[in-house]
Amino acid sequence: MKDQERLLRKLPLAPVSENLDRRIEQLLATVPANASPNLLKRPILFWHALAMAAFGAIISFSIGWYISPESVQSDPTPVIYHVVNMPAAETARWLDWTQPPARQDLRDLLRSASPQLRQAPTEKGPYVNDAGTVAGSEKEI
Amino acid sequence: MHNGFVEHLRVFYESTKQELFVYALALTGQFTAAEDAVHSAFSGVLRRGKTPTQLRPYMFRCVRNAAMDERRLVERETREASVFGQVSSDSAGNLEQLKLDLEDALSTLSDDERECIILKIYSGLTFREIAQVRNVPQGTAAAWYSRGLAKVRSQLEGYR
Repeated sequence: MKDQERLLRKLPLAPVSENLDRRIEQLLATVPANASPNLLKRPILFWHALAMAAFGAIISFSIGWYISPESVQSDPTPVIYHVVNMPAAETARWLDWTQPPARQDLRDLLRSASPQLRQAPTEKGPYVNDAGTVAGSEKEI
Repeated sequence: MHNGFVEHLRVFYESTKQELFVYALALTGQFTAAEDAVHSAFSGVLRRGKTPTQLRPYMFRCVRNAAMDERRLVERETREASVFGQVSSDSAGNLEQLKLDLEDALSTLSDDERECIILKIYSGLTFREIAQVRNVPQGTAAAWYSRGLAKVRSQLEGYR
């Protein structure tokens, strides 16, 4: 195999023409020394990326605000908040504040929720019994 | 795009132009088409705007793609340019015959075998780089090479 490789290497190769050298040199010379990075050379991509990032940030902030306690207190539509992480006692309090259709939904939700929903809170306040309704004190459960 | 990038390409061209050109010539069979293929590979990488991680196989792949495009435009009958240059007159006798026999032998190989031999022997690529250029497993490239070389050997038995 080595002999064959040597034999194949015996012949000179076709030379590169000066024309190609000139063309490549011209091509490389057309690039300005201080040209901007590729992304900025395509402003549409840059602005598109920026707009998407801004849009994403606005959406994330809105969702965050919607499920935050401050938002829930000023706008009593607590369904998302209940689903996420409201403690049992507070959830029960919200139960009285919702409108009838949502209330049924929340009852179902509470009924299927984990046992921690039925744990008695440490401070005096509303409790949730096994049926998912609100009781005034621990004794009523 | 930085000055360094263009300078890097310039140095790369100077050190690899022969190999790139011969590869393009072997694929297109025409001098002008081969020049166009190399040129378009470089303009492609300039448009890309940054040096690829592995420039060498990347550029050979670009040349291949451009050469394949050129090849579609070149009529089969006009593909006659040899990858070999002029043989010097003082040693003309034997080498001229060897050149003809080698061209004959190479023309009997499959496209893959011929391309692999050109890349390995005349462009100096490793099997790993050839595999990257052709997008095949390394073993396939090595098999093409040894099969092609065996065919060449059988046709050039008289030479040492």
